[in-house]
Amino acid sequence: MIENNSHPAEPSYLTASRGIRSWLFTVDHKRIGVMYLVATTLFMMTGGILAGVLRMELFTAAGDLVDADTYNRLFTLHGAIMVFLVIIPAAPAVIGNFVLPLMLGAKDVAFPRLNLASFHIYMLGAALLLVSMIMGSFDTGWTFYTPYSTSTSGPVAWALGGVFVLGFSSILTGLNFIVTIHKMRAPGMSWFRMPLLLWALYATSAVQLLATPVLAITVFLLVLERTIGIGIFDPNLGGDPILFQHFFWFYSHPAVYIMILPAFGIISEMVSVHAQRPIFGYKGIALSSLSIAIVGSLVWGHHMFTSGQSIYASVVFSFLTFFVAVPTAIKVFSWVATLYRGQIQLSPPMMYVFTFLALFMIGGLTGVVLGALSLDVHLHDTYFVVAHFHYVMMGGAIIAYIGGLHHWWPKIFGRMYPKKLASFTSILVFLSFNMTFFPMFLVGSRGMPRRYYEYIVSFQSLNQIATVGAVLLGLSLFVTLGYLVWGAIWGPVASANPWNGLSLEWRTASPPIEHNFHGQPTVQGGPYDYPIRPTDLDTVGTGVPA
Amino acid sequence: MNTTAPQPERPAWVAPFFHSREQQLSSANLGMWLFIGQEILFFSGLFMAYIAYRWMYPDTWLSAADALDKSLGTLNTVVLLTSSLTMVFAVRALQMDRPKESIRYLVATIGFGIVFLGVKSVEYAHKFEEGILPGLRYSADSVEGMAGLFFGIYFALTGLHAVHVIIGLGLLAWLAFKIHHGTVNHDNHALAENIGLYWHLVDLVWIFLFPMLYLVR
Amino acid sequence: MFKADFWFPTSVNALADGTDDLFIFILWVTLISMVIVMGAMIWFAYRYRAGQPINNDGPLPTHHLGLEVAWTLVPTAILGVIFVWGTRDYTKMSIPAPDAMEIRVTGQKWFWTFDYPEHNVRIQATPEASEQARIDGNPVGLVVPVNTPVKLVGSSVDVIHSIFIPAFRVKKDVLPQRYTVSTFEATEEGEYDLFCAEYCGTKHSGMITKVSVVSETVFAEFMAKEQTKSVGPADGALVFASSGCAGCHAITPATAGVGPSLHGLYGRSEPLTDGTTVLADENYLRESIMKPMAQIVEGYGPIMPSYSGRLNEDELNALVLYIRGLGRDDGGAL
Repeated sequence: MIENNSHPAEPSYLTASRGIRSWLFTVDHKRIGVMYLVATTLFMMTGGILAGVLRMELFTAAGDLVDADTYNRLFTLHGAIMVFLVIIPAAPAVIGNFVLPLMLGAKDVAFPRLNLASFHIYMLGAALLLVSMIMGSFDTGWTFYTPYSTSTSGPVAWALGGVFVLGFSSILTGLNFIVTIHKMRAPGMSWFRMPLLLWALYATSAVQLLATPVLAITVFLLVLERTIGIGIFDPNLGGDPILFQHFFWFYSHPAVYIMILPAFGIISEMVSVHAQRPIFGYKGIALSSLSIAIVGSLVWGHHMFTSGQSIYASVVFSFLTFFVAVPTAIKVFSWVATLYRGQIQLSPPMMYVFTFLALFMIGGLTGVVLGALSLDVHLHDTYFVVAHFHYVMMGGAIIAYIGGLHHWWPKIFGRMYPKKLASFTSILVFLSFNMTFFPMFLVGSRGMPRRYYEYIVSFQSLNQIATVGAVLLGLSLFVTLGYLVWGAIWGPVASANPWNGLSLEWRTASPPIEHNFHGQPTVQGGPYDYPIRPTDLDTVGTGVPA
Repeated sequence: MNTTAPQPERPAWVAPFFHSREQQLSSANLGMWLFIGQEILFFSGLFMAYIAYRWMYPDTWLSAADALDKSLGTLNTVVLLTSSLTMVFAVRALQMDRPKESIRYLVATIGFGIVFLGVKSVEYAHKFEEGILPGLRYSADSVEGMAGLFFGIYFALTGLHAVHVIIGLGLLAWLAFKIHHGTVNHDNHALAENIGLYWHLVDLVWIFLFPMLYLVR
Repeated sequence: MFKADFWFPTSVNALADGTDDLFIFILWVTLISMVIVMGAMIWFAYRYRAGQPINNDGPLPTHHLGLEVAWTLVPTAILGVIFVWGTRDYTKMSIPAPDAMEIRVTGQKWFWTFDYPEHNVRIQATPEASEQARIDGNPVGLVVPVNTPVKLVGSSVDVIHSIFIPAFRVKKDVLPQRYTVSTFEATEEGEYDLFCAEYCGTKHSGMITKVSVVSETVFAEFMAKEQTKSVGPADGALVFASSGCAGCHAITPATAGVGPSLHGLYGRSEPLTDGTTVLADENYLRESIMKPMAQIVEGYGPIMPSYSGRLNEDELNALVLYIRGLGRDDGGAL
């Protein structure tokens, strides 16, 4: 291969400098990506353990494991940690940070110090949330609806402060990526020659940049209401709790696109590389990312159909919600079409592509159910919604993220994990995921509301299935973490391009040198110009001296 | 690429991961515009609250706007507009390689910013005396209706704006410092332009706040 | 698995009749799409697995206009159908009949209170009260007559709650300082669960009661029984008198006065000082009493004091009801 043996003296980014300070003060996007990886993994485990306790409590209809207040705090924390500390940062900050400059052929992002600042701001936000946990935690739900959130006791302001700070991290990362994509593409890489992950990250970054400030002001106003009584949502003053819901969901709905758009990008990369085929419908996929970002910013009211908002508003939001389903469907069909006449490896990333497609379709189509006004009246705030969003956020975004980790792991660490074990474990993840969450559709449609500490006995057997599934899911994810870590440290050394990918990150060593490339790679074609045999890669002009 | 010595046409202040000074400067510029975009979104949340409640309680808004001191507000508007002018001159002086002049204009801008904050403190002090406090603490009787709500929004908007002014003053002082040391100069001027943009944003937000709060009719 | 009663409790609300069919439709669409997409995925994974001889039938397709147009338009059409269907059913479910029996629902942490203004009956559905009702052989919780359109007008005294009656497919948030409306017409006698569906604190999951649908005779008897013994809701006329409203507001069709006449006010369009008009509905009446400065009728000044803090929820509800009935002989039903 090209890079591994040409400059044997230069160390990889992992060993170029040593010591904890060289990591905490690094401006290398790859090291920052790895730090985010460690942090998000830790937080995901925390959020997962919280979920485990919740499911244990829900094994029986009666409240017998923890008391009601503890349960309410647990589900609040589970939601807040998973949304703000795990899913929103994971794909952009871990995979985006590591892969984006490499894929562009750049030596780093446009603002590396800002990138480091984003990381430290993220940790500060996490610390504030931790403070609120230590101070007894809060029970408002991650959605902080008023007047409950402004009148309940507890360290809510600390948590809100944490969310505010975390928002900043997200905004700055988005800003960084947009400028990097605009200004630092390799020579020859026009917009429509960019890998689709970059289109996805671009759309994601636009949403991060423009929607998160609205969350920031919302959270800020809540803090003001709790601390000095500036109550603009307080009904006693003439304020409107429904206005809070509009503010909150104006960000939080686009937030789910922050979660899923990078996942779509990752799937595009993996399906093309692991089927060794050019992606089907490149422009459709690229432009659909943008249209999802735009239309997705207009549908927030579909969280509020039963809130007391006017019927007219509900009808408009329902209409737009169906609109945003169309570009998503186009992507799914395009990915499957990419498999046609491919050379499909059942490698772990491809297994995760299959898992994603199955789980995301279920999640997405149940979203269509919820978008229908008449059905949402019954299903809103029930376990049907809980199942829906776990299918799209976990079965979609997290599964794609984990798949992406499998795809780029050899690039990040220079070593390979046990592939057969990984492919097999992905099946366990798929099965246990369904066992956990599918019953929730049923208990929800049968009438079980969400955020319920105790429930009526007729829902018990399905809840028990879900709990068993959750334990199995937790175990399979644990195994996944285990073999990935094992692989990173003790796995067989990986080549620069173990999957025969054609985008620029595969043209440099695994793991890459600190400055990514020796010289400036150039691009003469698209990133999916299969079929190309491995030996041809050297002749596809990289501008890199052999 | 030869990485051992800087190319003659590539100044030392250009970061290693950029090809050229042009790439660095245009990146900095784009980044700053994006940052401004998100700041506008940040304030727009409060503007939306204002619009929503004004539509719901128009009489309160009329009455409350009368309780605000229009002359002080106008004075502040003039002060801030002038400070934007001196900011423009500061950046221009730097681009014409006249750093000392640039610093003088920056000092003037900071001065105007301090005057702005001073006038605002006077306004706030008056209000606190009268019992005009935000939200539930509103205890005056000069305004009818949902006064607490109006003043909640008033203090949130002007308070947030004032925080941005204070941050701006810090940035301006830092910039003056860097020009004094020569790290920011007529060649490496992105920081000055960007801080100028920030200051103009602060001014722009006030241009909206002033009529929205003080001149309701 | 393709019948509604696998997924839902049996629907006993005439207004929601048939709404489950949309779900089954979407279920079929889901199944068929999954079969097609997953089927293609699995087939391709098998047929084109690595190691198969390379098929050299020309370049690998990256576009197919017909296919792409089809898979854009077909989903759009299906989604359009679902949207229209859902909206139609929704309007049917949400708009109360003009002669619907009105029941006031008040949510508070952590129980529901049901007031029957026409019968002057109040039912506080606490767990203790419900248990007592069972012992006494009474219907529990929200008692309604069968085959009668009912309009629930709800509010909260503290935080947001939500009335959720799965068997009726009814769900509506109740908020402080305003009213929200939901409606149903129960078609079968029986007891049905009523949950709170908006998180409201410690006992959110305990804020449960029943809807008891009984025959009209049983309902009438029950109302008569309850009237005599329960703490009824306040009397609106008494509240009006004791609050001094008559000092400024006439209840006859007068023209001048310190405040506008309340005769026939409910349902009217009132012109305001800022030039706009407002419909005098329950929320307007309530707001005028609690925050009179918010909207002032044209020709009048900002003089009325607020009753916020002087009237409790009970009295306020009664007063609004009383004003509604002024100058109308149908009891004020909208």
